[in-house]
Amino acid sequence: MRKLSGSQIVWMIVTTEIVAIIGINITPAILISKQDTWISMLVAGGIGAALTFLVVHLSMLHPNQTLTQFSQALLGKWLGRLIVLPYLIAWYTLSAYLLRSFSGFLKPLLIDRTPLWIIMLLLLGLMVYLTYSAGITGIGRYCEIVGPIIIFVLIVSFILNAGNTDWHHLLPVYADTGWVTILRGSLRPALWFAGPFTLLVVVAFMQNPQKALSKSMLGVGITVVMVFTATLMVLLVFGPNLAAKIRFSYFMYVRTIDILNFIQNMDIFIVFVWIFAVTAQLSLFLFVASYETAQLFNVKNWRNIIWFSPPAILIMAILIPNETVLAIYDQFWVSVIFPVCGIGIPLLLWIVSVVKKKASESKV
Amino acid sequence: MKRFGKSHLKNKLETDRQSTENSSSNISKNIAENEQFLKNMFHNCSDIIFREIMIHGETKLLLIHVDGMINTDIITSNVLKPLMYDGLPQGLGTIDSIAQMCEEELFSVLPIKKLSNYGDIVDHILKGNAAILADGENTAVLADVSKLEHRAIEEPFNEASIRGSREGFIELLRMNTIMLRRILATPKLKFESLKIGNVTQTDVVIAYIEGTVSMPILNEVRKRINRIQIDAILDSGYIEESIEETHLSPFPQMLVTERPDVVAAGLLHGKVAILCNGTGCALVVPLTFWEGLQAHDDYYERFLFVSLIRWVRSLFAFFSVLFPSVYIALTNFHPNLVPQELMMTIAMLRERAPLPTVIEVFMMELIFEGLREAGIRLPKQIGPLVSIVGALVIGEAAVSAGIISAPIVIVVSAAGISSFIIPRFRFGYALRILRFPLLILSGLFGLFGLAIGIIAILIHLIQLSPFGTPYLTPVAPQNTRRLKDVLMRWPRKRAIYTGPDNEADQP
Repeated sequence: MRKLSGSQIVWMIVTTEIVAIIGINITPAILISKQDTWISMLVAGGIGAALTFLVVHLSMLHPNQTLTQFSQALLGKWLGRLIVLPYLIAWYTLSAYLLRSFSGFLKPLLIDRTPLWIIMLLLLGLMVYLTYSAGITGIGRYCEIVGPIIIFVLIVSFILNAGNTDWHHLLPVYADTGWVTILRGSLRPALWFAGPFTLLVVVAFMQNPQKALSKSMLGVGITVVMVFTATLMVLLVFGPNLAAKIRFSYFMYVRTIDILNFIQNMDIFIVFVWIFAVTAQLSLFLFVASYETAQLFNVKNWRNIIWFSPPAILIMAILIPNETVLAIYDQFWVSVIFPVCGIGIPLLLWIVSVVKKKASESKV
Repeated sequence: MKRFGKSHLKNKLETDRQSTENSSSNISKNIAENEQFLKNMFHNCSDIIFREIMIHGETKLLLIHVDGMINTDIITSNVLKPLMYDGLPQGLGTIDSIAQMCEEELFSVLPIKKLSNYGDIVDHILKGNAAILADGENTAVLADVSKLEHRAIEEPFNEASIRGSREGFIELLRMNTIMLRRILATPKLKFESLKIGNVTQTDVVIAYIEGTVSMPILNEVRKRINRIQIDAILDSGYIEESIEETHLSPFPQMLVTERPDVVAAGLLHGKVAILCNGTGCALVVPLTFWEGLQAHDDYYERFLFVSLIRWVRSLFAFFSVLFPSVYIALTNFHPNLVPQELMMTIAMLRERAPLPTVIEVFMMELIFEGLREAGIRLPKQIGPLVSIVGALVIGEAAVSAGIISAPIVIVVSAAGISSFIIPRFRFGYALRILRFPLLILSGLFGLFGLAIGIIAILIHLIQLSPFGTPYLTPVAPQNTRRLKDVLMRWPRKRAIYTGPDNEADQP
């Protein structure tokens, strides 16, 4: 298997995280921390970077090994496999969740008359094509192209709306909210800055794993800067009260762009670009889920799993009946899945690997 | 009829086997026997000349060649005259065979070969050598006295340029390698020669620069070319199709060029060129996406202008693929994205059009492709007819009759013309093919469908890697050093004048 370069890791992180945070996490954060959400985003970035550090460092202790491989090496065959199960559940359900929610988001905006399952099927087709034909290398290259485009589009959207900003929306700073509220608002974005622990698998495919730490930090850093700016701009244009009422505040923000009274409704264009990034995101999850499933069941060629995983994701996504279930899942993700898979297990594995390393060093 | 076909095939197989069995045997010492054998082999080949040369009243030598393919002057002055007038050289004790005599006395400058296998001899005769068989000897002398008629070197038709050499390849392989050798006068330029085609035995040359060439690509090319099993090679296209990575891609995976300077540039970049006898089109392996958008004289012009032109080219390339489908998506699905006044105008013009936009665009695209193809095939004298019919009938009449709306004509012709801005002509084919699936997708799903289509194309480009070279390099995988030759054409370093002589001239 061909390997990933450093810049591909950076863009992979940027592409897969930015769309989720700017797309769905700005408004919930504004609901909690009001005009100080921009501080929340910075705090979230700090927490996310720390969690990323943990995950990447853990991976780097086991070069060229993915999660399933090194957890088995650390904890023994059965416990090691057992520990991977929550991750697989997380990746499969998260893919279904994102597929369903993104299609639900696209439908009213772009294609009102098309049934939801067709949209999901088309997106799924792209995911399978990318993952099956080119694997992780292909996803890396894809992100290398799409990532810069997204950053460019975001920056343009910031510049074009600079005229509509009003500094007074940010006042008063800190006084209304206090650090507890700011911290509470930063919780959800922080989870996304850490990413859905895909780095536990992806780092193993890097060309020089020594660079994993610096590159992933750079990726998170770029993401934080862009998310911070996007949040700030949304606040500056709408003010906290209005922004909290708009479900997808960034897209609505883009809608207010008006060039010479001629080019309007730019949000559809942004959504157009978003489709590219969401494809990258979902393909990455599909790859990680399929690869780890193959590892778990000792399937030599992970591509064989592709026969199984996309239909599973599609069925799950179709079975989600309405937005309420999505909200419940979201809550479940924040309160159960992430603490277990994003913090608990990595910490446990990290401690075990450090202790084992110490033990083996002292033996020598 | 069927039975006839079968038995015919059987006969053919039998004769094939016979001739291969025979042709692998060696010639005998008896000249009459040899003559008989070769005459059997060249049975009914009226262009093969057998000439017996009598010395002292008996047949001593047999000269065989293809009529018109050799330079008879050389044979006459070097072989026939000395032998017929002077007889066999006398008193040269060291010479004891005709072959040796030919080698050392008659053809003192020409390249000759001594062969004893019937198959080899026949091959050489057919390639324009003259064979001389002597009585009592079981080797034949083959002298390369070929004189091949060929067309003059002209400016390549399909790759015109403002600046740069005007030389184009011709159908004669040797001339083409000469042109390359003149540009790259280094012993490191290698021409590996082989024969492909069971029937045509076409000479094919793999050209590369030792030390510069990328070895994985060269090895892959060698491997794939050696695997070719084919009866005939009539053009380098046969080779291209046999060695390309996948047939299921609209994008060309190797460069086809008629220009020696383009081949030389490719070789200098570590690529491998494949030249083939009988065609003026050389293949340069591999091609990448961005090179498809570059022209050869990009490197001859000044960099600022070229960089600008490269931007224009990329813009129009994307424009040519996307414009019709964007038009459909915007007018049918997202009219609120179009500025209101513009949408009003379009709606007004479309009022009388009876057909749905998608069908209209599809029809016009097909007609455009038809006109293009007709323009290539028509004899020159009636060529202008196409443009008149195209412009008048389709442009004017269809619109004023209200069958086609005017914006569609604008959209389709603009997109069509912009696809011709792409310098590598065959690269434009890919963009033209891709227009159709995108049309269907955006006709079905609007901008969402368009996004799906573009992403699918992108994924295809990402996973395509002809001869191990990723098609989108240096953008993905990124190579920052080479990235400056993608949309820009970075200037070469200026020549630095140093040394005592020039120092005074410097400001």
